[in-house]
Order: sequence, then structure tokens, then C-alpha cells
Amino acid sequence: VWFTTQPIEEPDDPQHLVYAIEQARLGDRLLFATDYPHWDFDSPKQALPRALGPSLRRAIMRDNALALYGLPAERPA
Amino acid sequence: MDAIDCDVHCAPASYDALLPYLSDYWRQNIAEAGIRLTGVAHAYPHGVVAAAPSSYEELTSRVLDGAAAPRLVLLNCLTGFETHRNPYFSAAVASATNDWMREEMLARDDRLRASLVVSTVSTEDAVAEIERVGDDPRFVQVLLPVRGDLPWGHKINHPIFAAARSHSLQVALHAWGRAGKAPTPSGFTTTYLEDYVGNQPIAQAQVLSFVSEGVFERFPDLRVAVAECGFAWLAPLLWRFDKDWKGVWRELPWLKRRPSEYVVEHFCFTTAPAHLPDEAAAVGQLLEMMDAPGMLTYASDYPHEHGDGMSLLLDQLSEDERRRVLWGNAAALYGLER
Repeated sequence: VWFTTQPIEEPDDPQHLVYAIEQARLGDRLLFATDYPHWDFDSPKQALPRALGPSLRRAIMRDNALALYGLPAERPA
Repeated sequence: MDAIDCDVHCAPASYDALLPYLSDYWRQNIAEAGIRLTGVAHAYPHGVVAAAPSSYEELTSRVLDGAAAPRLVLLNCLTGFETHRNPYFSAAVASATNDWMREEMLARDDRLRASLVVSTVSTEDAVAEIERVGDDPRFVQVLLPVRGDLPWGHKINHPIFAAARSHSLQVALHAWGRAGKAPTPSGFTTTYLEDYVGNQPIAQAQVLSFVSEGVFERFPDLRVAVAECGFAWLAPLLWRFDKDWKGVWRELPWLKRRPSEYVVEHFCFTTAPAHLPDEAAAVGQLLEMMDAPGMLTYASDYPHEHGDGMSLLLDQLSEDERRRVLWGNAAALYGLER
């Protein structure tokens, strides 16, 4: 099962979100979403905490969706 | 063991045990209509000991004897949860169950305390039963099923909390509920597995309800013990609760603090089933995320067996934290002498 990120949980200690993602083994199952235009919308620039680290962030923002939907990794010319 | 066991089950083996405490009218009804306690034992995996102790002798030999016996035992009798939707019968069975527990169990051992059972169908009758026996100091909390007709925080249920506090009782929400109550927030299930795991999302809904309906602003001394519903799920629920509350706080003008602060102060959770991950490091993370040493009360959940979660949990706690979980939190919660 895959899950979209919004509305994203926001623990006081952002590291706890990383614990939760790791424990649920969701690193390759989360898909970035804005959920625009709902009231609980977060700025896409700030929704994902830095504590996630660059590789998990890249997976959530891009790679997990590419893999799930079989999308091309490069923009068509 | 130096512990207060906050969830040991007892149950009359059949309605025969309750007959001395029922009126002629209900005795005749039970006999002529063939009403029986069916229980849910048929749903358990084969070979599981599901029957709760039905006499003091059984309780003694199975729980109270031996070096591992806890110092104090809190009895929970779920007989009234599963049986009926008739409010008149529900009230009669609740009263009979309390009288049976007093005579069969509580009067016979100083180490025993119990949850006071009430009608789960009628607020009025629940209040009347608390008024009838709530001054008996061997009752320490009012037992409610985690599944209800409405979330328990709803205004309609507040007289139960007022009555409980006027007799210095706390409230417990225990897993399960009457037949006829959906075991998930989205309806009825096909399997026992879904019912069993489903106690968790129902408990989450109850946590949201108590806080959102302002129960703890109205009853600041009320504590709610959630039994047999796990606790590992708590932290992510509270992250979401706090964050979304910030956007729609105007709906809940009675809340003076973040929702999670009410939960941490007013809720506690029994340790069985613990539902913890296998890895020690992951268990440590979970306990850190929920301030576990202050919110957990030890329970064996006898006669139910949920695996080795308790030892996983205790291994992650310091000596002082272990004492709090094993007896300190419960002693403070129920005002129990050690």
C-alpha cells in the first residue's frame, strides 16, 4: 500500500517522523502530494522536514511515484 | 511480583451465578426465554485459554498464588459488554455483576480491586449504579466498552463522568463492546482478526472524542485508563491531532491547551497487548515518542495471552521507569496504598 504525504504529521521533534516512517517501512511507499486547495495544505517547500535527509526526500518527492506508475525519469524532449 | 495488575478478567460462568442478585422478574425471564451467556470463546484460535476465572478459588490458583503473584489485582468483568441491547436487562445485569464480584471475589481477598460495571445502553442507569455502589472503596473505576453507540466524550455521557468523580472513581475503556456495535469506525467486519485489531482504531476515536468534547476541562480530575487496546499507535495520532486542531480550534473553544497535552495528562494505557516491534532500538524509539513511563500501567490481561511484548517493553526502561509502569502509575491513578 502506498500513501500520499499530505496532510503530513508534524511531531515536535521532526526526527520522530523519521522513526515512524522507518518503523512502518514506508521509505519507498510515500508519494509527495500537495492536496491543494484544502485547508490543511502545507507549503510544498516546507512540508517535508529536513530530518528526512536527502535520499528519503528524493524518494518521496520523485522516485517512489516514478516506480509505482512506471513514469519516465526524464522529461520528454 | 512487585506490581499492580490493572487488567485481570473474571466472569460468572453462566447466568446461574448472577441469579441470587437478580429480581424474580429477571430470573423468570432468563429461565423461560433461555437467555445464556455465550461469550466469544468460539472465535479464539484453537487451544487458547479464553475463559476468565469464574470463582475466587479459580482466581487464587491461577493468578493470586505463587511468587509471581502481583501485589494488587484490578478485576475487569466484561460480561455485560456482549449480551444485550435491552436497557432494563442491561441495568439489572450490571447491578447483579457488581454484587457477584463483591461477594465472590472482593470480600474474600484484600489484594483485589475491581472496575464497577454499568449499563452500556442507558446513561441514566449507569449513573444510578454508580450512585448505588460507588462508595465501595474496592471499586476504583467505572468500566465502559471501547465500542459504544456514540463516542464516549459526547455530552450525553457526561453525567457518567460526573457521577464517577463524585465517588472518586476513574473511568476505564476496555477493548470490545456489545454485539451489535460496529468494531471499526467504518462498519462491520467479516473476521475475528479484524475485530481484534479493530479495537485500536476505535480506541483512537475515543481519545479524540474525550479531548475534543472538552471532558477534561469539565472534569479536571478525571483520568481515563485504556485497557487491552495497545498504545504503540498513540504518538502519530497526537501529531495529527495537534496539527489539525491549530486550523480549526474555533470548533473547540473549551480547549485551553494543545490536544496532546490533555491526552498525556489524562490518559493511561495498559501494557497488554503491547504490540511492539521486534527490534529493541525501535521499541526505544516508540517509548520516547509517547512519554511511555508516565502513561503506561502494567496489566497481564489474564487469561488472555498476547505474546512477549511486556518483556520487550521492560527491557527498554530504567529501574525507576519500570517501577512507575509496574505499580507507581496505577497507585497514583487509583489512590491505592502499596
